[in-house]
Amino acid sequence: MSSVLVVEDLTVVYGRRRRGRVVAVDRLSLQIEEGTTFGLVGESGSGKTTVGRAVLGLVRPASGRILVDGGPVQHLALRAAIEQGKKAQVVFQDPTGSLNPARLVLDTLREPLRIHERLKRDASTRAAEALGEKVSLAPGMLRRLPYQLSGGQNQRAAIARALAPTPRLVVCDEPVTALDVSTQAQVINLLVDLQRQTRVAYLFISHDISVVRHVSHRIGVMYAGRLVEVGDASSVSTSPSHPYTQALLAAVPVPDPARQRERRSRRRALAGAAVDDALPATGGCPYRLRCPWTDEVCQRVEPQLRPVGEDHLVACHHAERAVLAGQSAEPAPAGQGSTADS
Amino acid sequence: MRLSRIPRPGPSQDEADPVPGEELLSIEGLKVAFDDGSRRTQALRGVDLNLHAGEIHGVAGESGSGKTTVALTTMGLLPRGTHVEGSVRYRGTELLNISERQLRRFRGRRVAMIFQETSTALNPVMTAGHQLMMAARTHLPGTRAEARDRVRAALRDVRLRDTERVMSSYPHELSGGMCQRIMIAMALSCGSRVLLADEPTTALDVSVQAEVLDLVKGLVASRHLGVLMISHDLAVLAQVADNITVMYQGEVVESGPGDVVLRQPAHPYTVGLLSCLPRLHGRRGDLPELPPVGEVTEGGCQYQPRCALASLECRQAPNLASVADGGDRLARCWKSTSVLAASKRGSGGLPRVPPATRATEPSLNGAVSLENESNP
Repeated sequence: MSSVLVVEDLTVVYGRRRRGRVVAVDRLSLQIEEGTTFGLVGESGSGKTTVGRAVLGLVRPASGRILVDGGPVQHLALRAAIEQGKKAQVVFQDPTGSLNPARLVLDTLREPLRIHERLKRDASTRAAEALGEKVSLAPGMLRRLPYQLSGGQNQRAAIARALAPTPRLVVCDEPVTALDVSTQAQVINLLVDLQRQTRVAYLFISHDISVVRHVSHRIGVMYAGRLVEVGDASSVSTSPSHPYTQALLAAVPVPDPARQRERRSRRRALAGAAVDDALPATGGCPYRLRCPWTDEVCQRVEPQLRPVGEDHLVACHHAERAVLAGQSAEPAPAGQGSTADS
Repeated sequence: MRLSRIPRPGPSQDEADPVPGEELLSIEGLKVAFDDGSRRTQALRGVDLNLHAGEIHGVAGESGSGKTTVALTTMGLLPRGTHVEGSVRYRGTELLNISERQLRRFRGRRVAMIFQETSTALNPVMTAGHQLMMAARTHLPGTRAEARDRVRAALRDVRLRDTERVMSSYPHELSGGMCQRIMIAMALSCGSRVLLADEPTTALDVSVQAEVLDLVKGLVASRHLGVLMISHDLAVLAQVADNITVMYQGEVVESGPGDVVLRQPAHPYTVGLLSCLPRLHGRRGDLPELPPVGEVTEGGCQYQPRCALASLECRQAPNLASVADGGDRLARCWKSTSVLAASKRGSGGLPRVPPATRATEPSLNGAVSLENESNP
């Protein structure tokens, strides 16, 4: 297997003046192998979308290296962008907004075929219809405008468009967040099926860890621009070792009121401070203001990713304690923020 | 300003605080049809729903099921020319077909609504404080200072601590979760007893979602509010709802206590909605799907084209009826008893039938029995 995407020490900074400077992504590294999915989870503002944009060449990194299929990603050069478009494509959150409202879906699908595959009119129509079939859109559906289709159908069209130039990598940025639960399942299954057929790799970005673990082989959890936990999807989701990952998992709603009540008390124990109140800390561990395990070390030393298992890295000084507490399901010690719910 | 024409609340509008369990909102036989000139779309086909003080009532269903229309009808926010039948009463007072002037005594003052998109619900060029003050002063008598006190108290009730900073901020300076809390505070400061929450947490992160849901639950308990919580996600409703109504194509297909409906569903649609939720434990990329919407037989069960259990009898529409051994719950399905039996056995999802088979020969569906299922 070869790496389709290599990101090394990526840093992205927004704003130039000292006051408005935001480090959106901070020395982040990841790799995605051919035919696999890397799920990137985190809350709004964690920098996960910025990683996706940098991979697509839509923002200029402050430092670091990005290789897609062995070639470096260049920022906003048209010629390079077309070549990059052949290798890396994208599916966005809002399916209707990401399709041209004045164009038949068929024409939207033909465009990448015309540009990348240099197909003529009839050939591109046939190829577009074949693509439509792959995502279960009948030829009749393709001859409609986006507003005449449902959200799920539009998202399938957006996926077909992304796959048109047979890319090696598709960045999926919250592709199912705007969809109904029932449609979510369709789109997730479709993405997995298409991956089995085409060996495409996905960078799957979402705030919902339950969705991410359904599509991902590996999962990375982001907080304040940094990867705080990364590893095999089942290790990360079944034995989360960073307090933030644990909190994310505890916040996932489950459709069972009785289990939900248990989870509520667990969530309270895991949540240091109210989410809205605690901004990421500067200096030391960025999560320390929300973390129930915070101590003096966390204020001084920024934790680095370190192995806690096979293909499982965590950036936390207290991962072992957090894991133990998580396994015994005992509430974490009352940290400085345990009054959050009072 | 136009706002000054809204009638100032007089003493007659003071009303007793609701006691827990009192019926706040009663919706009966609600039918709504939208006309767009050539075509009539039946959005609601006779919906019954009751909301009590101290209750969170969850309304679930996919887009197009009519769940938002229920809330919009209650608020009197349907477009002109919409056909509405039935009755919506707030503590006994009919809200349908009353004048705009009369409606204003209730809308925002007794019954408030919050929406999914907080960023569009708040005015981007006014500070949060300005908007909160405007709402509070429009709906309740008193001086500016009194209104300001009420707003501050409401902001503290929704656990926004730095009230002065929040009030002087513009919506874009606040997070999505904070904006949603402000919307809730606005409803509280105007004295609303009923809150219609339309997908209030869908646009929020899971961790923020959990906090906002906890907040609503706390407010309902302390203030005996009645909350109609609309969501497509049954897992969200499981966190907060005392009772759940599942809607499909403008009809109630199942309703009852949250525990009962979610743990032992008796309608195939509820089972389907539950089975396609992503689970924390399960195989990668193997989520059960609901089949696509198909043609409905005239006068037949609305869900029949998508139903794995559909048979000949489903060409007649079933009624919303109680289910044997089904507890305090109603379901609209001929086979609710066997669906319930299957969910009690804990066998999870329904058998999957390829849509093509069903489309040609609907009677075939009956051959698939609940016993044959092998879903993970």
